[in-house]
Parts: sequence; C-alpha cells; structure tokens
Amino acid sequence: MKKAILIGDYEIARLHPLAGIDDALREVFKDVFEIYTANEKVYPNLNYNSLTQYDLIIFMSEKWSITASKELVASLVTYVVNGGCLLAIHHGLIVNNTYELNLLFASRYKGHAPYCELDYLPTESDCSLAEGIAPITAYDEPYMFDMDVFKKTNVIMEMVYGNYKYPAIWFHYWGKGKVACMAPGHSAESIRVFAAPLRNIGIWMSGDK
Amino acid sequence: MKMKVFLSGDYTYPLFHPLTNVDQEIFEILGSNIEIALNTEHFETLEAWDYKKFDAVILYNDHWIDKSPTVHQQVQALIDYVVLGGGLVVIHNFEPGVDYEIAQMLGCSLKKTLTPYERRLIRYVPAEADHPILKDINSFEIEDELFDLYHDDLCEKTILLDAKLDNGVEIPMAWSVEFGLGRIVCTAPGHDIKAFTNPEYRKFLRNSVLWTAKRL
Repeated sequence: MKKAILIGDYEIARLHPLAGIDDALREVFKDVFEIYTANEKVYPNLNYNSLTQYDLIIFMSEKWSITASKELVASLVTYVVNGGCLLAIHHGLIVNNTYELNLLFASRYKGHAPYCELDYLPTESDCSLAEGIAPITAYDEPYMFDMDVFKKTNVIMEMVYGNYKYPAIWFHYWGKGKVACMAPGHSAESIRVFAAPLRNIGIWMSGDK
Repeated sequence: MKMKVFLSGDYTYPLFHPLTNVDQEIFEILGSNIEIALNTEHFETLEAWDYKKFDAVILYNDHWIDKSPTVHQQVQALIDYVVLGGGLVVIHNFEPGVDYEIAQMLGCSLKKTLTPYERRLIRYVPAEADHPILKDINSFEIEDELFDLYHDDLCEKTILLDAKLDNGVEIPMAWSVEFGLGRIVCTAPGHDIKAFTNPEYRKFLRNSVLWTAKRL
C-alpha cells in the first residue's frame, strides 16, 4: 500500500489538534494509503529526501506561522514540482506567511464567518473526481479564498453561503505533481462527512497519472 | 571564485527579440568577474542539477512557447533550481509565463504590448523600496515597448522600477521575488540593444544578477 504522511500539530494546536482527525483520515483512506503522522516536533525537520519516502503529504498544520522554515517550504515545493502529491485540508490552507504554498494551492485564505451549518454542492464537473459525490450538509467554518489568476484549478464542490457559492474542494496538477485542497475539515466528524470526495482525491493521487 | 551565469535567448528563430548583439552588451554589463559559463538557446533538456552549476540564470527567450514539447521538464527544472536557492533574471520577454507555474513564480504574464508598432521614450523611476539593487540607481529614459501585464496577487513582489507616464500614472516594470530559498528579478525594459546601452539600466541589470546570485 502507498504511504502518506500527515503533517500537523497535536499539543500546540489551539483549535485544530490532529488527535482524532488522524484516525478519521485512516478510515477514509483505508486500502489506499497507510497514514503516518509527523507532529510539530517532527515535521519542521523534514526535508526533500525524507518527504520522498511518502507518496502523499496531507497538510493540516495549524501553527504553520511559527513552525515553518524557508527550507521546509522549499522542500514542499520541490516535492510537488518533481511529482509528489499534496493534499491540504482546512487550516492547512492558512499559510499566508509562506505565499509559495498559496501558489501551489492556487488560492489564498481570506477569512471565515462563524462556524455554522453549510450546504456543499457538487459542481457540474465531468471529471472522475466528481463521480459519486452527493450534496453534503455539514457544520463547519465557511472558509473563503482568493483564487489564483494563472493556475486554473478544477473545483468539484462548492460551499453555499448567503446568496453565493464559494470553492470548497479543488484539485490540479502543479509541475509534475498533484495538488488538492479541501476547505472544510474542522473536526474528525467533518472529515468523515466528506469521505466520498476525499476518497476520490486519494484514488487519483495514488494512481500513476 | 568567478561567478558562473547561464544566458539564454533566441539566435536562430527569434520572434521579435534576437539575442544577437544584445548578448555582447550583457557580456560587457556583467564584466570580467562574471563568467557566462553557458550561452545557448536550447535548454529544453536541462535538468535541475544542470542549473545548479550556475549562480544565476538570465533568460531573454521570446520563443519559449515553441519549446512546448518538453516544456514540463523546463518548468520543473527551473522551479526546482530557483526554489532551492538559485537566481533567475528574466529580461523583457515574459513568455515563460505561458506556463502557469512559471507565471505564478514570476508573478506576471504578458497581457499585451501597449505600443505594438511604435517605440516610446519611457521614463523609468526607481520605486521607494529599500532594496540593494536600487542603490545608486537614478531615473532613466529608454525608447522601448510598454507592456500591459497580468499580475498574480498571490505572488509577493517588491517593485523596483515603475514606468512613469506623462499623465503621472506609474506602472510596475521591474520587481524582485524571493521564492523559497531562491531569488528572482523580472524586468521589462529591453526590447532591443538601445535599452542595454543605457548606463543606469546597465547598473540595474548588473545589480539584479548579483542580487539573485546572493552576491549583493
């Protein structure tokens, strides 16, 4: 089975500790990826060579603003541009102190309204990643983003907030690698609710193309 | 030890901007302490480790799009080189921006030339940034093309030069980017040899190469 590494914070996280989320991701990706974890004491020391031992990086660091180094950012970009897979979930998308990752994600986090019940709708995308995805109603934080003007991404689910729809889950190739982003994912329960699109992303990322 | 630079541009089939003659000016601008270790229009097959032999890469390629059959490797190799600490100076030709990842890294892509059939005397003024490249650089004028560029707001740039129009409007025409561990300068002036003979712009270009190579 292919290997994934979950990068995030356990003890120093204030709102989004990975405890519980790690097991929810193991359930979602069972038979696709074996998930290892790298906590806040481990992941700051990762480099390109150690990252290439994994087929997928699941990125959920909440304290990225204090744990990130330029070297680690460079390693993540190199990992992806050379063919690695990067999945950023929820608070992992708040990386405004390292704009290079915003470029990879083709988005920049703007902010969010309070936690509430939200409707998520599949887009009319005809790509395989959109197959079998039904509308989802879930409690989460309505994250909003500025999308990149150059890198056109593929949005497969949108969040309804007020009278507008906002990108919620999207994916694209970046260099030789693959990137996917999921704005919801505030809790372990939220990860389980979004199991269908997450599994589709996992299967795409575990493939050769 | 002498700095080693890779210079690329189009000699054989340039669209509008041959490197012929411009290359001699660039050699002089860089001076005897900087060696042009490789000068070729073909770098489709270069890998990231090939680039790592160079302290900086200067691109003046206006034929980038025709190298598309191997463009993914070019994109991967260039980004890899820069993000891990390489230096990149892109002069006038923003066609590398036809590849989205490169456009994101440079922070721009060419929208159109505002003066397609004429050259206009353009006044370039240093921006207010406290940047080593701008040390001792004064305003200057060059008869050149004026570009309308798409900018990527997600890319964090430091504006270095603005084109100051007669109506007072200032348009960013050169900027620096720190991308991962590497450094980039994009600069628009340089349609033909006239730009490269301007003393202030020559200083600006030399400073740009030195800064991207972390020698300034």
